Amino acid sequence: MRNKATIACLGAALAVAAVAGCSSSSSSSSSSAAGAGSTASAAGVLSGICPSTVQIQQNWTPEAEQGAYYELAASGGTIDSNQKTYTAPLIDPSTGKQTGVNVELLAGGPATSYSNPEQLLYENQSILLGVDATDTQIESYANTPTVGVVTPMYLYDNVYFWSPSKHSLTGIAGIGSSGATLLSYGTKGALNLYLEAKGELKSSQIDGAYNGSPADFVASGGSMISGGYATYEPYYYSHQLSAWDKPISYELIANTGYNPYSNTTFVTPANEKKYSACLSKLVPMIQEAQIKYLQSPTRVNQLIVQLDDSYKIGGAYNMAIANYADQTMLADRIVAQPSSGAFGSFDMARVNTLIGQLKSTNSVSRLPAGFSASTLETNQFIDPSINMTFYTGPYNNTTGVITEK
Amino acid sequence: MTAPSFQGDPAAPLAPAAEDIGATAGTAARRRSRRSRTLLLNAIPPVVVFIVAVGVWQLVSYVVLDPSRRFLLPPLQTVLDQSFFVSANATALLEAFWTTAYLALIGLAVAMALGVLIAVFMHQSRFIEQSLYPYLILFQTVPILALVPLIGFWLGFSSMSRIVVCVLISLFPIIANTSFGLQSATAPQHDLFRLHQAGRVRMLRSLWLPASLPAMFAGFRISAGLSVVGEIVGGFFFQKGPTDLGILINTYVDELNTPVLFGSVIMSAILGVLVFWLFTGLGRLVYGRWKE
Amino acid sequence: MNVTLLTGGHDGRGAPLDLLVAGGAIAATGADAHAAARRAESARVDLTGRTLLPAAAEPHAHLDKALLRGQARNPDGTLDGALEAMRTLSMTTEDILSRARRAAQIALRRGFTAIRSHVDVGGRRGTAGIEALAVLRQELRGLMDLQVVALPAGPLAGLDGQPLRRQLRAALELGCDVVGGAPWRGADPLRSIDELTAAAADSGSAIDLHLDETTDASVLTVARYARRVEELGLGGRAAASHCVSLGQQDPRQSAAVAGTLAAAGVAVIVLPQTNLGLQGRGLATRVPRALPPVRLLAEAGVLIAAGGDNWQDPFNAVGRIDPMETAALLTAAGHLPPDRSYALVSEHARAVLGLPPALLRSGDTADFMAIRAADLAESVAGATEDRMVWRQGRLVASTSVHWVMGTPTVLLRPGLRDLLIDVCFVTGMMTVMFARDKADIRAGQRLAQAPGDESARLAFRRTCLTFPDGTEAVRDVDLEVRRGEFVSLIGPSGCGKSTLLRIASGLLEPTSGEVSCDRNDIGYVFQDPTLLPWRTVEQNVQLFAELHGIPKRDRATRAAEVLELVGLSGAESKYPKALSGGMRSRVSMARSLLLHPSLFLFDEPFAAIDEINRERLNDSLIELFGIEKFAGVFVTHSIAEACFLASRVVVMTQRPARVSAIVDVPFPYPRTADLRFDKEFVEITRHVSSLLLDSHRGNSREASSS
Repeated sequence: MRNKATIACLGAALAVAAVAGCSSSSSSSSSSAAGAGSTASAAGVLSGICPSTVQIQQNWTPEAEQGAYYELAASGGTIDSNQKTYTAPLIDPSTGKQTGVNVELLAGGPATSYSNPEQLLYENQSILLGVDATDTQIESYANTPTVGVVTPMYLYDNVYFWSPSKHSLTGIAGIGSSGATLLSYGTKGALNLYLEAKGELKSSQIDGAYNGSPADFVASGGSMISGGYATYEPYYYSHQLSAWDKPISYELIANTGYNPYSNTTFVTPANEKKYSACLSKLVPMIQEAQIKYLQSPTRVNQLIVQLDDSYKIGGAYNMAIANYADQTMLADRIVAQPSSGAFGSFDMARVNTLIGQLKSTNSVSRLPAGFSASTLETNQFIDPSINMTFYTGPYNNTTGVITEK
Repeated sequence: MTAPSFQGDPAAPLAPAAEDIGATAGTAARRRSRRSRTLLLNAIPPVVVFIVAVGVWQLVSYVVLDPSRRFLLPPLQTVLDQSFFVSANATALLEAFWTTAYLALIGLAVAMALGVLIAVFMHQSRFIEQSLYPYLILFQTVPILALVPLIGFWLGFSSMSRIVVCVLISLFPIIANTSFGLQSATAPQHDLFRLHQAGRVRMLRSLWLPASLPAMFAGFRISAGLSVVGEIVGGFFFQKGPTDLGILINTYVDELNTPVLFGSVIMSAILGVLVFWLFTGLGRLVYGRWKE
Repeated sequence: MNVTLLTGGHDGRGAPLDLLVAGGAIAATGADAHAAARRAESARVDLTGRTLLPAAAEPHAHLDKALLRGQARNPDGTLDGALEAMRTLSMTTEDILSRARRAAQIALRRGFTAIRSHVDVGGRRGTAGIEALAVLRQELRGLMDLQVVALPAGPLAGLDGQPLRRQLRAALELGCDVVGGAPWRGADPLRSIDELTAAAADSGSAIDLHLDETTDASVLTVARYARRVEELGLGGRAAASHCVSLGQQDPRQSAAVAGTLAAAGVAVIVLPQTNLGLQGRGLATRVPRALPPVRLLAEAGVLIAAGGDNWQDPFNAVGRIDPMETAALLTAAGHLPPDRSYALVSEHARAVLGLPPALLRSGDTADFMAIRAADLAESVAGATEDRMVWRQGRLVASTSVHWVMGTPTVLLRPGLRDLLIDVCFVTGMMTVMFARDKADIRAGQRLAQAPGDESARLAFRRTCLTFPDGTEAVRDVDLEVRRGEFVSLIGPSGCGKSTLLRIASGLLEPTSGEVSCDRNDIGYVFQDPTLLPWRTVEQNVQLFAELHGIPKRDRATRAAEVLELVGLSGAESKYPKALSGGMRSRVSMARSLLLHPSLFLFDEPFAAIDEINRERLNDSLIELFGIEKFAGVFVTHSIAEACFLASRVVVMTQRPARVSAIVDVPFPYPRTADLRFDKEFVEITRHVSSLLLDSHRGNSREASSS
């Protein structure tokens, strides 16, 4: 056999390698749900001024918190379950008409190895909008500067949560004194440093190995305190996680004074200028979309759940969670009309406070001189006449501990 | 003029002497039955260990863990039931199994081709060997996890990146083992070729590569297992593209669906074993006939 | 106007026949047809493989009864039985039309472009048949001419016959062309004949009567018919169907009647299909043939036509709608040649029907048939369905046939099989013997090559070698070895014997002095056989030949030879791991032998082999030496081996190697095993032994003794 075997092996290996190289990395498998079809009609208010496909990079897999963006997408579009994207004609939420362009919603989080949308915007020049929390936006500004153009959510949606039977905390402020271990992503996050500086947290309490899985929390029998989202963990743990299935109490981190905008929607500075005509029309649509979504979320929630089923990555998601998230967003004022300014606009003072917090905890570096909120965000595209007035209650105790049973 | 007969007797048949050939047919049959008996005897210890392991598993699950924490080590029958008898899970596991197998094998194939090529070049040229070797060591020691974000940016978050991770993990053992094998030709064997002024290509074809086959395949076998691991690890990070065992494991961890999580781990193990057997078998096929 | 050229066909005799058809007639034939076709831009039809025949006409059918099949059963197969079956059968006009239409279509496809059909009038069916055929005639307009004969169902004579006479007149008014009847059966046949002929004369129509459909020779109403026809001047439009009893008269009587028929202008219509079946029953032997005397009538000048009569009704359950059937029966039972038979169903039938001639001549009506056959005989015999039918220049029917057949199985007859086996065996034997002869011849050739070349194959001249680390291995060695000389090198361990060989082979370069040999022509056998484990014995043996670029086929042949030389012919596909030490040595030797080197260096090749086998190998080496006649240098520790193999034994000193003594071993080759016990030989070994001892002790003496 001697050489022949080797040559055969090598030959086969090279052949397979060639095939692997030829076949693209993304063998996309698309499916179109019955419905509107996946290409936009010829002309509309956005054609010509926006890219023919407006790509929006999310920072997680589809969820109710992204409802505003999915509201813009018609149903029945193309689902690419390999690339984890959804493409459909972009609908103007105020008129219901097609705008002449498509919108493509790119899943993030596990779909992109947890890369920041800020970085992805630079890596893939065809992405117009990215969505991420303001603190990450600031932290990544040095390498990948972005400009926020609208923020459909109001209060920061992150929470710390615990088992009320194990800890009777009056709030986040009591975590330090409880001595409980705090599950966190890394030990040197800005929030934790900020709380440590306030004296509400001791660095020895922090377990930085949190990967988002309930395993550690549940295994500890609830003696740990964990971080999460008001719209997800409290409900999921207490209702859908069979291994726990007990009440969860939480408090909004916003109450600590650390209050980034959860869904800052941003563009690259170059695109801010290049697509300003587009953004002047698109941003009001995003404002409207968030309101319209929360008023009647069923269509979009169905789409979101369908996408999560198709993509098969990320944690469990279903209609019950989505509905709970919508209720919580309204009840916890995570989405609310700001005390001043139009719905979806930036409070520059709030952003400046955040910048100060990040600087004081040494969580940012190499910010350009004169960097401030107005460098980072802009309200120039906001339509000041858009306000969210439809929701009048009920509200949770948003300034204190909320318990989900 | 008849040919000389080495029996000393010109009239004797030309067959070689009996003792030269070795066992006769009778002893071969006896050897076969003996072999199957030893096979059976050899199988008993691992089976015993298996039974003990299962026993320990069930003990821990039912006795050591209280019901609220049983999810940490669900009982074996729950694992098997949920993983393989719930059709949605079984289908997902099977599809992920094939995806992991297929991508890992592609990565392995690339690593095999690349690795053998590099090893041959290093063997042929001292200059190449000296220039490449330190980088190979370096490259071997850099953890893949550090490279993942870079790979993601350059190549996207889909199966191509996973294949690259497989290649990175599998490459070094192939280079190392093949290099070792290439040098395993003895001095007298070299003499044979030098005596007849054989050229370098000739010696590569007829001496070095054939001599290196056993070691090369040992390298393949090691790398095959590593490639499977690499694909699964790649799946943790690069979740676009077809669903593989890594993505499934991630999903089950997020959902805290530990029975099927264990099922995924079992499938990964099965894949690793299969791949190991595959390359052992392949090796035997390639050099089994002549290797002493 | 449609002009069509039909080419490629042939006439009934097989001669080519081309036609140009225009305006319903044949405009030209042969070369004229082609010329006219070119002028007129005609359509072309290819009739290759077809015989062109004049169209057939059916002068006597019963379309109203055709294809009745199971609907009415003839109880005894006779004419009476059939009539009885028909008498009580009631049929509607639609029923009659449906069957008549199908029968007419079949007839058209088979080549009938005209039919005269008798239709029952009166009885249970009244005028239903006439009405049906009137409709059918319209349907067949342009496709087929249809003449209808009113056939009264009972006697016309007397008072009883009056209603029937009325119906007959009504039928004639409905479009019946011809007066018909079967008067011979009635109570007063002759009177019926008179009345029928009178009716025909009155109405001016033609007349066609069923007459004498019996083998009873006493019945002969046709004579009266002939007289009446002549008297009333109905000649030319009068026909007599059947006339079976005419064939039962004595020849003169028949001839006489024939004469009157000819004179009166009465045509006779022969109906073999029906009559051969209906008449002559009831007799086991000497059955009369129910046909009129066809040849006799023809000689008398009577116009004779032939028809099918009853088509699958109670009168003839297997009546076939095919002019070829009637023609074949006329040939077989009527003893007419095929062309005459066919004329009766075509040309003559058309004449009886009063149709213009259609004989494929220029100017004739273009009514003809093109049947896939070589000539007329095959047309009648094969009666293939594959026919194309033209009527007045228009293709009215075309049928094609497609057949597929299986392939036969091939069986070798036993005798043939044995023969083949024998042939193979003999061929095989001859090949083997031939090959062996060739091997012998080649061996002989090698022998012939051998000595004569006396130049030294190896020469050391003051050769010295000092290793890089300073150890002196060889000092001042002078040695020459020629072809046909076998030299043993013997000396203390480590003295440098192997080093000397390595210098000789080119693996080492001497630091000073000369060594001359042809590097390309050396065989080197190491102590360790050094087989490549991944190669089979055959492939190992071919190694050097491969390295020297010898093509594959040569290599294979040489390998086979050389393996045979060393006695390993059966071991080609074994791997080294399956070989014993002795076998491996032999492979190693075979490998070196392959290139037939003229200088062979052996570095203790048999050191690891047991005594008995070593002696065997030595014997074989001697034999090899005898065949190949190389120059051999053999390094060994064994004195016995050194002396047995060599013509000269060179005793080396301790390191550094120098030649201590050279001892001649003056025994001729080939040497046999018993030389080992020869007294003189033993003496020489003792001498060598002592020299070696001296060498060990470090004494050096140059002595040469015999």
